[in-house]
Amino acid sequence: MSCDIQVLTVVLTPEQCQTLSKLARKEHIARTIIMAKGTISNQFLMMLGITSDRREVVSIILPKTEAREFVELINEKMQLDKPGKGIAYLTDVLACVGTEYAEEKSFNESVNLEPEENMYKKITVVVDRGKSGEVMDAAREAGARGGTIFHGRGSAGKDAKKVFGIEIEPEKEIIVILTPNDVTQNVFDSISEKMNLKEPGNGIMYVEPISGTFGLFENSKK
Amino acid sequence: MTALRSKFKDVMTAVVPIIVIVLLLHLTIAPLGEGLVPKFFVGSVLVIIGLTVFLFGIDQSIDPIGHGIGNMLAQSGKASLVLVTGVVLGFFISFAEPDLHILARQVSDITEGQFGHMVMVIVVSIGIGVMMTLAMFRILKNFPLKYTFLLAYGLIFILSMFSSSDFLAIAFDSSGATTGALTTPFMLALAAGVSAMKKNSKTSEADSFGLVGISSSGAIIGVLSASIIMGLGKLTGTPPASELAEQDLLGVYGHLFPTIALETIISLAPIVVSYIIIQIFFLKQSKGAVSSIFKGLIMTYVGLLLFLTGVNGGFMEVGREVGKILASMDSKLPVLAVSFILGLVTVLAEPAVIVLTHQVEDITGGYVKRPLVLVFLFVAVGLAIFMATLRTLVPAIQLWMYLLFGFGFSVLLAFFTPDLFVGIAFDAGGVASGPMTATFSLAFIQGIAISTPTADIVTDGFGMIAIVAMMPIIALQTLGLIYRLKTRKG
Repeated sequence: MSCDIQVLTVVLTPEQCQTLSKLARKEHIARTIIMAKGTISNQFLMMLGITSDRREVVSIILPKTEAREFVELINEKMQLDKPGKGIAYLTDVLACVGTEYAEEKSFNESVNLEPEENMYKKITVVVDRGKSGEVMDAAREAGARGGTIFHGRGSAGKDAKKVFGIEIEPEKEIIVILTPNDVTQNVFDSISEKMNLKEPGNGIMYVEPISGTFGLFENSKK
Repeated sequence: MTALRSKFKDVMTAVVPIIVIVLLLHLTIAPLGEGLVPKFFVGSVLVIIGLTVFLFGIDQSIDPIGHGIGNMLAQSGKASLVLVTGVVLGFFISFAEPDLHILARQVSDITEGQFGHMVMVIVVSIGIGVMMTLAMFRILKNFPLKYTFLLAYGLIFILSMFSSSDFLAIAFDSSGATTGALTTPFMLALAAGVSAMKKNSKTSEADSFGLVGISSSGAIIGVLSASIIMGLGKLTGTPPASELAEQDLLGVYGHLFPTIALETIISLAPIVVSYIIIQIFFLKQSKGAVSSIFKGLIMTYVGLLLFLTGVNGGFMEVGREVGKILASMDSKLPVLAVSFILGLVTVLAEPAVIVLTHQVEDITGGYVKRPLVLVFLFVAVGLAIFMATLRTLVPAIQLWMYLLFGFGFSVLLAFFTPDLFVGIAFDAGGVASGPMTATFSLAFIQGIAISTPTADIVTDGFGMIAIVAMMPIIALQTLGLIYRLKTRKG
């Protein structure tokens, strides 16, 4: 199971996210950002009924070696090793399309997991806002059942558009689809073709392994 | 702790600039009288604490309530339910808004009862109720926002041809006054709730804004219609005497506190009552959620109370003094320059502005950046106060000139700007003219009018809120145009 590409996920406060964006821009690294909420452990705030705080989740696709370098850079600049400064983790990617590091592989190349735990793959697609319908249509045609749509923003890394010095990151939709192994390749190809992901600027897609799923009923429809 | 810190930072960046500028003026060209400086300091501290607590409370209570009601309406799919809720809720929210009562009382005093206090409040509230209902129907029926504004402002234009210019000023001011610190977050959340049910994510986003803008045009339509029906023409009157000027620090705050405490309870009441009804019959949320919302409501109340007390006690008089001193100088340059700068900084401290800009960032997932919206807003309001000062100093400039060209241009721009920004822009117009503008900037303009022989405190006092409500619409639509040009692919 050698895989050369990884997804780096970083969870940060919005302020830290700007620092990260600056770092990424310097290195010309593309990123997708989703707004989210994080938990709060402060007793006083809990008493007031305040239980969550704003966070941003940043996903970055990079070749393994660069991913390691970049995460170390972030760690150093943003002091992730101190508590409360944010968290980061890396996951392996089986295949991706739409990025400059694109590589396509057969998905059945087994990953180090027991077969029964490895029945599904997670496909993540990032496209411009409003296109999630098209992506889901393409996925359904190829045998996927459903998906989850997030609302986020993304930046291509190069030539950022700026208004008065403030960078604009265009709106994106992030679609996450869990598919059984036997249709993953079809779904991947279908989305890649329909959305024309091989041409730059149309979106990106990547596949990650998953161990164990619950609540999926692939046979109920058939 | 970061949650607390980031809210506090929001508030500090909003309030500190005003304090710095007032102090700079005090130490240089416009020394304030004895006793004013401590009053201003107490006011500032109250504003900072109040605003921080208020913003937390809103997140915790008004926001989920509005969202819940909006969701419920959209899910029910019943036109009759939307109709009844819209009219009733719109009417009571507006009826409970303290700013509207203050304005109506002033109008009633100045016109010596020709246009009575209750008549005005009821007329405005009916206008808001009707337009808010239409605005919600618009979202459900997918009627484009720009045509809605074209129709609303077209109607206003026709009505205004039959009304006197004094009523024009009152009408536009009342639209700014009704969209206060509580109603705005509530309406924003309501719109987001109704539009979240839409299937297409892109239109759902754009539809989250515009409700405040359309609703506040209802106030203008209401007042203008009433003036035509009642056959009222030119208004004559005397300026109201200032009540606070002579009191000492304790007297001022002791006098204000109970009044504001009561007014704030009344203005919170319609939202709380409608929440309780909907919670019992429809939402049926868990105990934890309800307790969190009630904690939030208490914070909202305490925060707003402190904020309003601080603003009314410390800021109003300082604004008037600074205006008086600057306008009595030989050169008109300082007063014009200061009015621009004051406009810039006061808008930052408007509670509803802070809520709106965060809502914009939340709903667009961070695509429309908060700092950019703020920059455009504050330049817009700076220019607006500048224009208001200019109008006070130069008798030849009439309010209708500003309004006709300004709103004409706004509606025209709506056809070139992305829908999302049209909604945000018209909402921002209502939002920019909140308690901070109504006290500090209005008092500043009145101060200038007092020192300017050619100016009339009545005509120049009214109409200033209208300009403040108009400029952000133009500015934010311009931002939308820039976004469209910059993000175009290819």
